[in-house]
Amino acid sequence: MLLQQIAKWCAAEVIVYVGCGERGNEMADVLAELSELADPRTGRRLAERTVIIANTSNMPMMAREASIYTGVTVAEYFRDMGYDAVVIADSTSRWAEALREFASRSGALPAEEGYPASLPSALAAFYERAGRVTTLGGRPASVTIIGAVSPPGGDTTEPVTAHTQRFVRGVWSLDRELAYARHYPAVAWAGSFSRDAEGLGQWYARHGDPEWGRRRARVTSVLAEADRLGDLAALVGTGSLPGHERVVLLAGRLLREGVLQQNALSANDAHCTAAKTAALIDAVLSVVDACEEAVRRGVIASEIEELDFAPLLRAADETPPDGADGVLARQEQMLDLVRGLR
Amino acid sequence: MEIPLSPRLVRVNGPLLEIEGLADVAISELVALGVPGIPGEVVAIRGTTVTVQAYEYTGGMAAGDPVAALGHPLSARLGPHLLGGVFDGLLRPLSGAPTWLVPTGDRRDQPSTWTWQPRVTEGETVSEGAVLGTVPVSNGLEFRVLVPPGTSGRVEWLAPNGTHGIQDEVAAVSGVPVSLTTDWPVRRARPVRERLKSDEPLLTGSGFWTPCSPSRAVAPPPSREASAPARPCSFSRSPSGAQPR
Repeated sequence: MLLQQIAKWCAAEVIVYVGCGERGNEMADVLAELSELADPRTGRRLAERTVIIANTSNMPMMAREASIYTGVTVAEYFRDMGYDAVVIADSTSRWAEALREFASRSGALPAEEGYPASLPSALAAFYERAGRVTTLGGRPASVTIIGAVSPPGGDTTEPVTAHTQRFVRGVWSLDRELAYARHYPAVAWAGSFSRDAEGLGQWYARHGDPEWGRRRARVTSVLAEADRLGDLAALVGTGSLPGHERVVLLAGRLLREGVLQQNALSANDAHCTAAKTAALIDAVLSVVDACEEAVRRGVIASEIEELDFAPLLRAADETPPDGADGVLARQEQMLDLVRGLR
Repeated sequence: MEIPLSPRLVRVNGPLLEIEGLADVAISELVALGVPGIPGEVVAIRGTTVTVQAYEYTGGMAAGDPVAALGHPLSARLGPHLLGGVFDGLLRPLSGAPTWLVPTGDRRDQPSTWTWQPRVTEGETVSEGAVLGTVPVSNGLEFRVLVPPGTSGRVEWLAPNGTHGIQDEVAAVSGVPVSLTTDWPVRRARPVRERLKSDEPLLTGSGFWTPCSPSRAVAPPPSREASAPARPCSFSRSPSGAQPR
């Protein structure tokens, strides 16, 4: 679902979907859904700019081993024409299992968890082929690799996950708890990371959003602080926390529900431009600032908590995907409400 | 006097096979195994014993079956037919629904024709990676036929505007024929002029993570860890979107 959302909306011209080692039924679902999906950018079928490489779990195992290299070769081919290509590999864990199965037959000495000692170099050979380049013909183009890893039992210290984390530049860590809590996409803020935040901050600054880096840092720290206080509140009860900490808890909730959660089925919310996202975050953060201000001038925290934050929480769903104006209006509405507290 | 034996299979162990008597093969070269000639890749060589990983089901293979070296590494056939297609791991087309996940016996490229529109003129000097011509494909993307890596010089011959089969030659650049398709060994990265710093985001439009999530730098590979927990995501089939850090 998450990968499909990426395939559908991402700003790449060519998408290569490598289904390696997934169940046949699952693959058939993906194929059926992809062929029905309309390409939101051209109005045509998304499948027309997609290349699908299918190696289900019941198909010959070693072709699975080759399939991810085949996929990245196809992406490089379109990259050389000057396009941005995305390779989605689902899942590299099944691919690594093919390596392991062959290694054990060939009598290679098993390394960690039976995987061959060459696992890290094989993973690196795959991920190192991603990147922005200038092609031989002088055109700017890129290959992005999005590899799904399915660690058995959620154990992120197992070899495939651990080595993948070494070679990639960013990780979205999906979280079972979030999914059960109906928080979609279930990307956990604690386990996910990017090694390119600084470079991207500079990119956004060059493209008219100098605040991006600061905003990201603030969101990250508020979420971390809210998580920490959330644990504490579960133990001692929210009521016994001081006012400013209750505001942090509230800030965490507003960010999670108003910004991080996204509804793939909503016409407004399935797709969100960078500008709207920035506006949503700024709206939440400015309301949080106003709440802190209110606590400082003596307003009781529970009064703030009882305010109706719905306009803010529903801003994502109820304003058009490319419009920051609607979000701004709601921000003013909420700020008036908070400032009016005595 | 020893009679040189023709190369033959001596051991079959699932996808792992051993061959005796196959001289002059190099590591990573493709071989055709047995009577059906299923593809396999050389993964180890020890004296005259060659170990091969087979890319298809090896049921029915027996010791003594013939083997032939194909003389090239595992390559993918790249061309305009890729867009919108479904392929197996070796980039052979899988047949249409409803059995499209089952490789069929005949997996050669389906004959197809494409409209070729040259972009250069005969006699022009071109460098590697330059656009020789284009092929309109259904999705509005401009499919570009490029001068292959390592080739540059004068365009000696150019096919006129018109319809061509997928493997027809459409141009010749300093003696190198160029067709609509090209074969490329999948384990070798295609060359580029320069690798750039990865500081540009891939805007997924899947909104909210755009801001907080630098992960999708266009360049370097973001990886998603799905973990079993990811699955709840897919069966509830409803909301999704994106996000943080």
